[in-house]
Amino acid sequence: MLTDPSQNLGRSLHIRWLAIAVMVVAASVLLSGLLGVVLPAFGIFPVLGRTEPSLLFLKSALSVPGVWRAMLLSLGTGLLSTALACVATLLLLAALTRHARFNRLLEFAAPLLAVPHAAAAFGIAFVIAPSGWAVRLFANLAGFDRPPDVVILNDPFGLSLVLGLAAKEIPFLLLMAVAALSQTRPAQSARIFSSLGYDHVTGWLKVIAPQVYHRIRLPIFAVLCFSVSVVDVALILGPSTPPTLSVLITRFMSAPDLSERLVGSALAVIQFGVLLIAFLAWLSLERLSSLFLKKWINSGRRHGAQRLVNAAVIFVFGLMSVLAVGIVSLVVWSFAGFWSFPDLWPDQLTAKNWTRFGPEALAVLGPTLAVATVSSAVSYGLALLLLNGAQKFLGFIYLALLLPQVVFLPGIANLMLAMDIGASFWAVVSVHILFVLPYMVLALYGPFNGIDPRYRSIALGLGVHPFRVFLTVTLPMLLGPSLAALAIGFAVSVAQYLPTLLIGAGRVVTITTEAVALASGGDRRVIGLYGLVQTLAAVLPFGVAIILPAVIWRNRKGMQNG
Amino acid sequence: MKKLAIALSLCIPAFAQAQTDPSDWAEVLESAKGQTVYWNAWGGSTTTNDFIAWVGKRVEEDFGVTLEHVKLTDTADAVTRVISEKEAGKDTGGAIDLIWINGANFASMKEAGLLYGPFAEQLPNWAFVDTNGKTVQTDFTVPTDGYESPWAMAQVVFMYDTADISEPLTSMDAIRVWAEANPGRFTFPQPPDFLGTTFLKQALVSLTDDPQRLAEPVSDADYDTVTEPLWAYIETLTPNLWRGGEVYPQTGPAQLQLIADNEIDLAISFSPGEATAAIANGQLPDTVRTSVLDGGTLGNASFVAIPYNSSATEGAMVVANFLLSPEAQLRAQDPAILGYGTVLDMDALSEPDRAAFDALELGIATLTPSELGAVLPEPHPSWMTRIAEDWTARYGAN
Repeated sequence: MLTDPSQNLGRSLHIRWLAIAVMVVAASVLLSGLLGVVLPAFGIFPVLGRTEPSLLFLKSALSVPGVWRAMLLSLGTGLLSTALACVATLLLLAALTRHARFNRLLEFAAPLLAVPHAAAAFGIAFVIAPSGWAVRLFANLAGFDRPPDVVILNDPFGLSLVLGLAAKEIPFLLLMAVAALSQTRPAQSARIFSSLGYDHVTGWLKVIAPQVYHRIRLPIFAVLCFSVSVVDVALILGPSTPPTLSVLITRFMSAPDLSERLVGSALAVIQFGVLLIAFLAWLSLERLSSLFLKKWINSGRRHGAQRLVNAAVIFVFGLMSVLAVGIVSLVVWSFAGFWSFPDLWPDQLTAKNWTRFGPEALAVLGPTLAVATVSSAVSYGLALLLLNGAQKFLGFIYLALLLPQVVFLPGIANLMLAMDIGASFWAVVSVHILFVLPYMVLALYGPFNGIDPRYRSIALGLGVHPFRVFLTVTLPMLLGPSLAALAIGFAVSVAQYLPTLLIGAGRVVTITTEAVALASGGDRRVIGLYGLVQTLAAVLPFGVAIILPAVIWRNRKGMQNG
Repeated sequence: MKKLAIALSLCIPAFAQAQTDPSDWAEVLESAKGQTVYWNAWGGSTTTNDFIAWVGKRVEEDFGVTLEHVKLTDTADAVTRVISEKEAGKDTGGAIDLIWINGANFASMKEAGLLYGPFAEQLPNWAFVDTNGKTVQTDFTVPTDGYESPWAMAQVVFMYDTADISEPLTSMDAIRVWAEANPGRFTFPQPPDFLGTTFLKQALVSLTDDPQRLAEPVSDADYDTVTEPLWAYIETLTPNLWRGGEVYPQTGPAQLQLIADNEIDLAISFSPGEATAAIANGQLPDTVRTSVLDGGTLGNASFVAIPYNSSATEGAMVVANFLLSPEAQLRAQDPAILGYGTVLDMDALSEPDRAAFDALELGIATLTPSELGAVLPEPHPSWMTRIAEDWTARYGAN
């Protein structure tokens, strides 16, 4: 860094105090949620008359049948899917950045990203299951009418879960990486490494990939967190005898015997430990691979990465095709009458499902979009404020991503009840912000701190007020990342189930609370229909995020990621 | 003394205002007018959702009560909400007014003092309820004491695909023998899922020498002896289950999809009318029929309960009462709509109402009341919890 190391307005005291105030509010809400987990885990649960701390429930949590295996599963599937998604994303970018118009790729990535996790998992399941589309194709050729009784989905090692998670995370990381890419000035680097005789993919991986990785490290952590603690996808694709730790927690939290919730809370504390181990493992993996990669970078070899990159391209396209075909299958299911194995197509196509559920689904679209718009707009403002004034304390707000929602939200609901904040639109919005804000900060952190500080120095040197510099220099340079952040925030808000249900208490209904409740009935027609409407709700902002910068920067070559 | 009297006089009207006496029905109707009732009920069944929407339309028309269906994936979410409210001291103005509940969730909430009541037996339509022939005053052996009001009867039936199974399997043993000959074609939802645990309970009730014992709470003294036949049965059945018992469907309705995908041929259901409704919705092949076991199958009632801090207690009672009306019960029993068993006593109904029930078509896969055979009582809820835990330790955590 040549001059002022940060881009921020932090030296303005007002900004700093405001940022710290926001932080304190967010942190205290999160801490009250945390207490709602920790106290019961240590046996304190006044509603059942328990006020004495005890280690009993932690002990019984550790003797729950299959709990050790559940921990290993969470850890293993989380790490493996994150590593897979991360490596695949970088290798794919290495291959594609050669093409001038590789940004068009995002037009495909965005809808895949906007599909809700559960719907995507159902779609993938229908493609790869023993009675799914792929086997049906084969069954019609080979002439058998019973699906083979083999384990593909819900395999005991969680491999189908790993693939399902990776399929959903690759589009997310791709979007993050492309947003970060423009700040690494890839065109200049490419000119230099080309002139030194490196082929494109090798040069890209050696010079640009480490910079991109560095800038998307936080989103990768979020992915790791999410993958270790995900519930819905693990229920659909993951093993069940035993399931992953997060699913186990959900089982305990929904047990009719109220004292089981204490064990559930104890398991949540254990889950926190599992997350920490996952992070340590990831950091060690980073170390190890950096040793290995440094050696490779310093070897001076100009070629040799092509084969690996080709394999990655084939893998990603294969995986994305499964996801895309899965989504198509949901569209077909939403119009299906009876549809049995081994038929490739439903007996009859009907609009019945849409006339029966469509009006309901569209009716809740209004509140869904309203909550998402307000919570992502407010979060965007808050994210900029925090990045400007309180970068040191940012760690706090990630707490919301670290804990399983099912144990942590009742604590927040309690706080709101104690403060007599009723279930209302604004209560739901404010809790959504808790989950949207961390993603916003994740999406903006790298780009914000990656802006070349010299632009700002020049502007300041010309005597412009810092606030105006921020508005006229910094913010416009952040247009791409800002829109990506808003789109992601919007999608995160649309996808919230438990926060909407627990805080909204049924007063605020969104497409997702409806969809998740209906999905528990397992009817693919309804799941398909609601999944599509959910996707529509989330995909719009992504479209804007992709098209808008291209339009605004059509005459600014340096801002076009190249 | 004076202070106490003032305090009391201040309390009593507040109390009376919050909770109208259920036996003063005119007063209940008056207070209910204009109230909004938030009914928290499982939202996974599209047919049930449609029925609840219809109930909402009717109570709006007749009583000016607005009904909102809060769709849950799990009744536990509603229990959590009420617990949270109690913890926060929010003893009035709670967010939930009515819960679809039964069994262990009811036992827990009643024990923790989270329910309003007694009210059920003061409802005007209680006069029609069949209290002799149907288990509407106990819920899994726990006395309801008027803290929940019944609205539908359920009984275990087995759905089987006649394309693959020619004769119904009418005993637990017949199921085991058939599964041996046709491995991989039967499964049940994974306990502790409600329906999966029901399968275990059904097996226990059918196989044990002393079903009377199950009415008492479980005890360590004879648990092993009582459940020995169950575990011997499951031990021989499991290797022949779908996926060799390595994977289980996670919910009851997930079994419908498995039958439609031709992955399995036999599945348990807690609703005699479910198969007929699912065939009509294109969720099951029209070759599916239902059957029961020779010694009878488990049956119980679905109830609605009112949380102690409901903000629309009177409106909730009006809805509970409407659910007991011949009109609502007739619609719920119609197999084209829900196919749930009625809780009413046919002899207590007026002539035209009785005739309307008699005129109901049963539907393609629904058994007649006499074909449904004996209804066995549910074991004490402690058995359910214990065998679900035991199953998980034996088969659910390899």
